[in-house]
Amino acid sequence: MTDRDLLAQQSALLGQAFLSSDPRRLSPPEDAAEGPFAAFRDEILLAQGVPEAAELEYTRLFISPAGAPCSPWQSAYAPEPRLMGPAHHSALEWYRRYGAEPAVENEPADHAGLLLLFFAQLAANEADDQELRAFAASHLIWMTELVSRMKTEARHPLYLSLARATEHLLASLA
Amino acid sequence: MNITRRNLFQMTGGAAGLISFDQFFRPSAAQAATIRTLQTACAICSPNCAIEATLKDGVVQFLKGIDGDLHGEGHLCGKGTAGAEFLYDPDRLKYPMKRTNPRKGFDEDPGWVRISWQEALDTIAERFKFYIENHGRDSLLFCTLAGHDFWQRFMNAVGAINRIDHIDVCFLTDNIIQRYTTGGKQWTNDFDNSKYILLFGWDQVAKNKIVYANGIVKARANGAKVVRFAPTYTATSKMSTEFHNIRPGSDLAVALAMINVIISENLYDRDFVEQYTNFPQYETEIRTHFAQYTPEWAEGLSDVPAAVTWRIAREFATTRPAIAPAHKKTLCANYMNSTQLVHAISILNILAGTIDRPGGRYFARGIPLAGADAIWPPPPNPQKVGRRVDGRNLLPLAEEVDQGMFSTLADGMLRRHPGLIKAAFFNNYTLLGFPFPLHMEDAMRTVEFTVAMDFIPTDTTSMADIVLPSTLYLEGSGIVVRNYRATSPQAVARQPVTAPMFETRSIAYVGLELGKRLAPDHFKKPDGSWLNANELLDEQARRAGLGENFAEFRDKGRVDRPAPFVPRTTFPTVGGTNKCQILVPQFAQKGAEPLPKWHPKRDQPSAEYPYYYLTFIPGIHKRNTTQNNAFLNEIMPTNAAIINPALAQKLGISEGQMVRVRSRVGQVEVPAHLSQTVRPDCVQIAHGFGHRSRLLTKAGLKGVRDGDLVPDASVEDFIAAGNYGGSSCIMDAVVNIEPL
Repeated sequence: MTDRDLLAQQSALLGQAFLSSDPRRLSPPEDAAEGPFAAFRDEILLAQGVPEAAELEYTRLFISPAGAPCSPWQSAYAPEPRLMGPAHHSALEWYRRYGAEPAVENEPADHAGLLLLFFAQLAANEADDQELRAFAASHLIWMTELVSRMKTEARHPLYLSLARATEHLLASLA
Repeated sequence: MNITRRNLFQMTGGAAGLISFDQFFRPSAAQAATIRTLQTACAICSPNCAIEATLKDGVVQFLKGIDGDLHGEGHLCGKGTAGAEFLYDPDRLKYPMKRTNPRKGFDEDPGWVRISWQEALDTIAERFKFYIENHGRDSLLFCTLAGHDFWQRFMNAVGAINRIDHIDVCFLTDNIIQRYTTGGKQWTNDFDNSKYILLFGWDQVAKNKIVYANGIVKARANGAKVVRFAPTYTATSKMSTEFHNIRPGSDLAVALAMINVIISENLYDRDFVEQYTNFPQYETEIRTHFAQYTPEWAEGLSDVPAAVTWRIAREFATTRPAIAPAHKKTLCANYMNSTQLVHAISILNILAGTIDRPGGRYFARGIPLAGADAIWPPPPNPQKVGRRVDGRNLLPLAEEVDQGMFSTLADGMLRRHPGLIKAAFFNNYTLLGFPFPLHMEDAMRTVEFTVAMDFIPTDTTSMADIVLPSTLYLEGSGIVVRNYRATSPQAVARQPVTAPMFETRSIAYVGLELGKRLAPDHFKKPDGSWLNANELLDEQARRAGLGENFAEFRDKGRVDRPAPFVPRTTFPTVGGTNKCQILVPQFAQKGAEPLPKWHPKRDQPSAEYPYYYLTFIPGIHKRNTTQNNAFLNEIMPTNAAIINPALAQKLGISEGQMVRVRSRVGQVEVPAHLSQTVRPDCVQIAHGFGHRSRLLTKAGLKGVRDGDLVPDASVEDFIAAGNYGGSSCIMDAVVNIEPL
């Protein structure tokens, strides 16, 4: 597997994890031998046995009406937090340049999961490193704040390990 | 950057091909952002000003008013302009949720999990059915406005007896009074053509009600005199020619004395009063009754010099046309004597001869819309038998209009009928809206199953078992008929400027879906198919002649039917005399006073609580629903105890210092703000703040609840005090204040 393939595979997995409240929808990587992604794989397998606890935590962290502590949308991390802000429009521009749009129209395009999935597809298909770096700088680096909040807030090991794996990916892009 | 456009859907290379990219993305041919504008209507407050929304890729960028709109006249207020911040509030409720932690309270994590609409609706229907069958129809509480026709039909179809709304903290008293004194709607005021405007506490300019603010501005430009009585100096006072710093709760004394002056000096509009009112029939009773209320008597109660009352009464009666508006929260619901005050104000308008006359209070020239029941008549509804939890059945005048009663609900749930309510549905109402929210919080804890539908996680939401995410006005459709300034008919289209965000739905959807589950026959058309909200709009537009269907009307945006204003000669008052009623004989038959009598407000200053308590709704906020809006929160994030510098000096309080404000029912600790705008014997705190923590990122834990100092009441209290119109006494309290 090339570095690009690995990057794509890892980003895609993280993207799916941010988008799916049910861990049974995740396909854990088979070849992660050690490090944060191996830990993440183990937690996925464990969570798939008791998915209810993970679902409860997903709701609490990301969408709870009692004040989600880790909003998954980039616009919520702007100096003036707001959904559908400039990051939404910028993400939409990126997707469209590559002939794509989010399948769900009435939700913001700058969801961490969508951004990671798009990045994965870009990593797998786009030859130009500049493009990858530009997208990461605009739409992935903000996730350091999301990850830091998750590390403080998460009560379920699946989401602690998701935070660590995402942190690892972000570090590899720096 | 030299970018070659590529299509990720045409590539399968690499490991990413393993994952389902196309599960979350779809192909797009769009090259660049699209910018467009759409016309719709606001719904933050009831004039529903017309809006032009500028959208980038369907995302609202900017909202502004539209010229030609009778209400906004091309303008939006601060709240209307900030409308997009409601849509895109990160705190917005996004999906239906259910509670997994049975312990309820602000300090408990409810353990929300996301559920489907199907599961949410099935659960609600099943629980409601259980309570109806096992505890009766009166075991369900609906805290909601009548709302959309389908929602109303659903409540009727399940025989809901206990539908409670906030109108008693708003305009209930005036609604009752107008039904019997003029037969008209209560807030259509022709300020533009008025020459004398008399305001008792009325404060709509300071509340940024554009439709009224513009009217006052035009009236002043036309040379009208504007006189305001109030204990606070506000933007409305600033727009007035003359301002009198009246003692709180004593406006009634001055109004009664003015009626006395006008009648005893025969200054009233003789033609109007003799031809169109019941004055000739009851002249002796009326003259005798008001003779006791002299300006000298009123001076002792109100601090308004007798000479001023004499002069203003004469000016009001002889400068024509003249008007004295009453409106909603201000003055209609403040005190235990508010019903008498709005009756007295109505009499002043009748004596001025300006009911449905240019420059006066008039009947809106509207466009009648057919309701769903007229279009698709429902089968017979079950009888509404059972106990009314708030005791409103003991106030026949309030019962007739089927509005209220927030003020007696907690007493009803905790004392009158404890345990009666098993299940509750709260639609866009939060605890802050109730007088004395602490009681309501206790009352909510006695309910076994609570559903809360809202757009943000309010305090009510945190007590719910099921949370339903609500759409906002910018996501919905409707036909808005002008009724605030409508000397000729106008209808404006509301259309979604954006698709409903996330999985939000409207109350019409909930009514229809619960109806299908619990009363299917009520939600079928004659051909057996289900009712449909879009078809309802099509039929309403067609029957009202607004277009072939709703889409045609929507594309027009607005329909005007200019027509000359022909003053009415009959007045549809209850009782069928076709005349305005000064003395209301039907009131006497219903245990109320046929002519307004002097009653003091409920709570009077004492040694322990020496200061009058005042509340207000700031111009930049709408009641208790806008404090989490990013823009509005930035402008006014919290409240304070506003006191006069003279009082501050006497008590040793400095600007910003924390103070404790106590009443006979509660206390709050809040910073002081010194201002000459309030009388030295008053303490004023803005309404709408003090949302409980954790729920709302921007508004949570900021400020204090004004209601924590205001006693709520029982229906017996109201009857004993002559409050037959059910004024909820939202600032009838006295307080102490001390520095901390």
